[in-house]
Amino acid sequence: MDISILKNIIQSLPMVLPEAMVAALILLLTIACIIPWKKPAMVGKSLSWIFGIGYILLKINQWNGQWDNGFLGMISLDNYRIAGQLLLGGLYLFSLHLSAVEVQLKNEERMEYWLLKAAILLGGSALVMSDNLLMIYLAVELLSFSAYGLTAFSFNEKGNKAALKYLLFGAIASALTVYGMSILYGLTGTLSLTDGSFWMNLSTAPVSILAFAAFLAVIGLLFKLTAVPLHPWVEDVYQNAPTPIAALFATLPKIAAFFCFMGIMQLLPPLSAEAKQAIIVALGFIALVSMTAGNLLALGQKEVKKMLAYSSVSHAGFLIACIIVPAKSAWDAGLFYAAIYGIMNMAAFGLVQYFETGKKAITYEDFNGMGKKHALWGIGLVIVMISLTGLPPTAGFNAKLMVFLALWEQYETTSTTIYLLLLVFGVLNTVIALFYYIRLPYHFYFQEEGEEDYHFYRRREVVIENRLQWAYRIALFVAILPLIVLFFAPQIIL
Amino acid sequence: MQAINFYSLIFYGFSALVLVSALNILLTKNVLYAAFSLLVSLFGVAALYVLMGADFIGIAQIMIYIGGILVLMIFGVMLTTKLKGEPILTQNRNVLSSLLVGTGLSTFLGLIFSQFEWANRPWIDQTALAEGSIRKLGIATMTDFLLPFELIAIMLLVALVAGTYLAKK
Repeated sequence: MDISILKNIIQSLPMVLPEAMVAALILLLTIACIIPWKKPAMVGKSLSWIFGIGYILLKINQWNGQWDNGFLGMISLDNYRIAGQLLLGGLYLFSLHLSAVEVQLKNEERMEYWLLKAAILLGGSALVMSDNLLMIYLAVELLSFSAYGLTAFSFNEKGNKAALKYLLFGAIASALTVYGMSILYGLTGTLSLTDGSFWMNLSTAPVSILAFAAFLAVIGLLFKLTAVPLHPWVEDVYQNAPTPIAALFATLPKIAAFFCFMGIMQLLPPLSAEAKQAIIVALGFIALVSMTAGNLLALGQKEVKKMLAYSSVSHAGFLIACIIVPAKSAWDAGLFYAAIYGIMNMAAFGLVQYFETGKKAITYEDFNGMGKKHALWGIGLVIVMISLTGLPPTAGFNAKLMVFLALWEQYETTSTTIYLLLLVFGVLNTVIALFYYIRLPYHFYFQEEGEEDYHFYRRREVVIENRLQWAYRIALFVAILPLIVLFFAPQIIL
Repeated sequence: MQAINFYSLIFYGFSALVLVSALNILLTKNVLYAAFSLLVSLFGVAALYVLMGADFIGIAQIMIYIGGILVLMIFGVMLTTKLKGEPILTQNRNVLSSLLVGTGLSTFLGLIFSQFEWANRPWIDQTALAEGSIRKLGIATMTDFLLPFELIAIMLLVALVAGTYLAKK
C-alpha cells in the first residue's frame, strides 16, 4: 500500500471543501426532515441560504489557487471551472428566492424540497470539475435523480406524468451512457480522461467502435444540455414542474454540462486530427439541429413556459457551438453566453412565475392587456425577451455576437464548412426567435383584454402580500439589471 | 481442428442458458413465467462473471438482482395475480418491426465489435484473476475511487428521500 496515494487524497481535500459544504447541507436537511418544526419552510430556506452563501464564499476563496489534479485524477480545478461553479452558486441562490416566494404563497411545508435543490447544486458543481467518466456519470445521475423528484413536486396528475416521462427518458439515456462508457473502458482500460493511455489507446482503436462508443458516452451530457435527439421530455417537464424548479432545470444542469464539455474538449489534443475533425463535425451538426428544431418547435407553442422550454433547446445549440471552437475567443464567448443565458432565463421564469401565481396567466392570450396595469413589470418583460432574442441594447446581443465572432474567426483560420454553416444558421435562427419572444410583450401591451377575460382574472387573482411583492421586485431587478449593464460593459465578466 | 476445452464448454453452456431464458421472456405470455425466466437469465450472467474472474461482481449480481429486485418483482406479480384471481398475460405487438430492429441492431453490434481484439488487453491485471478481486476492489474504493464512492452515498440518500417523500404523498 503506497502511502503517497493517501497523501494525495489528503492534499486534495481542500478542493472539494465547497462541495463538502453542500453535502453537509444535504445531511443536515435529512436530519431536519424528521424534526417537527413549527415553520419548516423557514428552517429549510435559512439553512439553504446560509450554506449556499458559504459555498460561494469558499469558491471565491479557491480563485487563483494552485490546484493540481485532485483525488488521483478524478477532478481538476482552474479559474474557468471555478467561474462556472460560481455561476451555478448564484443561480442556485436566485432559484432559492423564487422557491421561497412560491412556498410561502402555497403555504406548503416540506423540507425535502430544499434537500433536492441542494442536491442539484452538488451534482452540478461535481460535474463541472469532473475529469473522469465515472465522476461525470455519477454527477449527471445525481442531477437527474433530484430532478425526477422535484418535477413531481407540483403534486398533480400532470406533474406526476411529466416526472414519470422524465424518469423513463432519463433512465434510457443513462443506460446508453453507461454502455458507451463501458465500451470506452474496454478499449482503454481506464476511465480517467487525464490519463495519457486513455487517448493513446483510443487513437489505435477501430473508428467504427470508437464513434459508436463516444456517441453513447456523451448522451448523458447531451441529455442534461437538452440537445436535440434528447429533448422530447423538456416540454412536459418545464410546463408541469413548479416554476422555480423549471427555472433551475433550464439553467443549472445545462450550464454544468456545458462547462464539463468544455473541460473534455480541452483534453482532446492527443487524438489524431481526423478524429478531432469528426467529433467537431458531429457535435456541430447536433448544435445546428438543436438551434433550428428548438426554434421551430417554440414557434408553435401556446403556453409561455413551453415556449421557454424549447427556446432553451435552441440556446443549447449555441452553447454547443461554443464547445466545438478550440480557441481562446470561444472560451470567453462560452463563459459569457452561459452567464447571460442563466441570468436571463432565471429572470424570464421569475416573471412568468409572478404572472402565473398572481394572475394565473399561462398562455399567451392570458397576458392580453396587462400592460395597462403592470407597466413596470412590462418593461422588465420586454428587456428579458429582447435579451433572449439577442438584440441590443441587452447583454443577450453581446453573447450572441461573441459566439458568432468566434465561429467566424475559426472559419477563417481553418476554413471548415461546419463553422460557417453554424454561423449562418445561428443568424437565421435569431431572426426566427424574434417572432416568438416578441409575441409575449405584444400580447402584453397591444392586445385588448376581453371583457370576459377581465372578470375571469378578477375572480382568479391571488393577492400577493406587500412584503413579497417587494422581495420579488428586488430579485427581478437584480436579475434584469445585469442584462443592460453587461451590454455596455461586457468586460466585467471577462 | 482445435480441441474444445473445458473452459469454453462451460462458457458456451452458460451463454446458451442466458440467451434461451432471455428469449423465453419475450415469447411467454404469462408475466410470472417471464419473471422466472429472468431469474435463470440473471443467474447465467452471474456465472459468466465468476467464470471471467470477477467474483465480487458475480456475488453482487446474485445478491442485488436476484435477491433484491427479482424477488420483489415476483412478489408484486403474485400479489396482483391474487388480487385479480387470474394470471397477468401480455401480448406480443409489432412482432415484425421489433424483429427487424432487433436483428439489425445485433448484426450492427456484432460487426463493429468483431473488429477489435478484446481479450488479452495489456492492462488486464492477471494477478487479480488468481487472487480474487475483493481485496483489490476494497482498496481501490478507498483510494482511487474515494470521491465517486462518496458521491454515490449522497446520490442514494437523495434517491431514497425523494422516493419516500413521493410515496408518502
